[in-house]
Amino acid sequence: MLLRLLPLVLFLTLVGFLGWGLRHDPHQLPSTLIGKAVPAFQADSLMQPGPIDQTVFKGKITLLNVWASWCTACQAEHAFLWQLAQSGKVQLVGLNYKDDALIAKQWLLQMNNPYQAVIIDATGQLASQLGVYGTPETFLIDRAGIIRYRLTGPLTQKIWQRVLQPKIATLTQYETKRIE
Amino acid sequence: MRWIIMLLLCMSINAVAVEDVFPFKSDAQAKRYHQLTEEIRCLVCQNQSIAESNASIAQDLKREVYAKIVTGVDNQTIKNDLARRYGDFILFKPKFDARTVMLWIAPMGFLLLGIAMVMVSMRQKSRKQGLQNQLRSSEQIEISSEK
Repeated sequence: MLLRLLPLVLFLTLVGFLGWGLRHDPHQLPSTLIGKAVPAFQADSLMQPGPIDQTVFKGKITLLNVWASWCTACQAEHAFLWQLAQSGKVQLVGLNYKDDALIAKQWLLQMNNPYQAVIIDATGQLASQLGVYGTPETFLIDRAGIIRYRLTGPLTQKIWQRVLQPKIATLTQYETKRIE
Repeated sequence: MRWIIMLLLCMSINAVAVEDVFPFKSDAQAKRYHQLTEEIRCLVCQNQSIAESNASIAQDLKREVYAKIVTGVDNQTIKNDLARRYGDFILFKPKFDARTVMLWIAPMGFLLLGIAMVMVSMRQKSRKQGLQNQLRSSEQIEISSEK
């Protein structure tokens, strides 16, 4: 009798898995670099003279935001990034991805610059090392320069509240515990 | 003469869409390139390989694969490096390891299970038929003996 139910049970299990799969966004790929340090790099800084390298992430919790002047979704998240920068809760560093440096600079000057520093990645080489596959993307990086999370798509108030803020709180907690 | 020209003109309509065309020193390298780029997923248009996709990241990755092939890097190293940065999802053929064993085995497993179940039920049916036949023939014998 029970053997007769087996096909139904298998079918329902299959449906269960398919249903769970439907709720996944295939464009939100988990980053393979979570738990690893930002790779060492040397680049030009967009807004300030002089070079910039991975030490820009040391000492502060940072959001590394991959953006470009040609990316319309980046423009959509810009207002929120500006708010975030002003709140001082986190340091914002920009990665200008496959862009024209002059146009990018002008864009930031016109629109308010939320970034502490902006890395110029004209060829997309550095972004490719970070596993970036679309813009905008935002990486959460801790004080030691270790990548903790990667978001694909525009950063919104909702995502900040639900995902990033709690993660930052855990990071700060962990750090205070270590000092104690 | 004219039909030769016509024929050649017709053939030129098969021109492929504008795309980077990379020069290769050997056919073997060109073959590797085409094979490899068809096994790597475009992460933006996720059902296409980077060979098929027009997305900017596909062009970048094709350039990278080309550069690596020409400098003598082997296929497995190229694939490993891409998977290290972008995740296993970038390869169309998932690796066979503890996490993906169900993915690889399940389809054939389901098929074999289905066949087994059909066989079992057929055997049960024929056994049932056999018993019914025996009953019927023994009833026949009784009826004929009662006559």
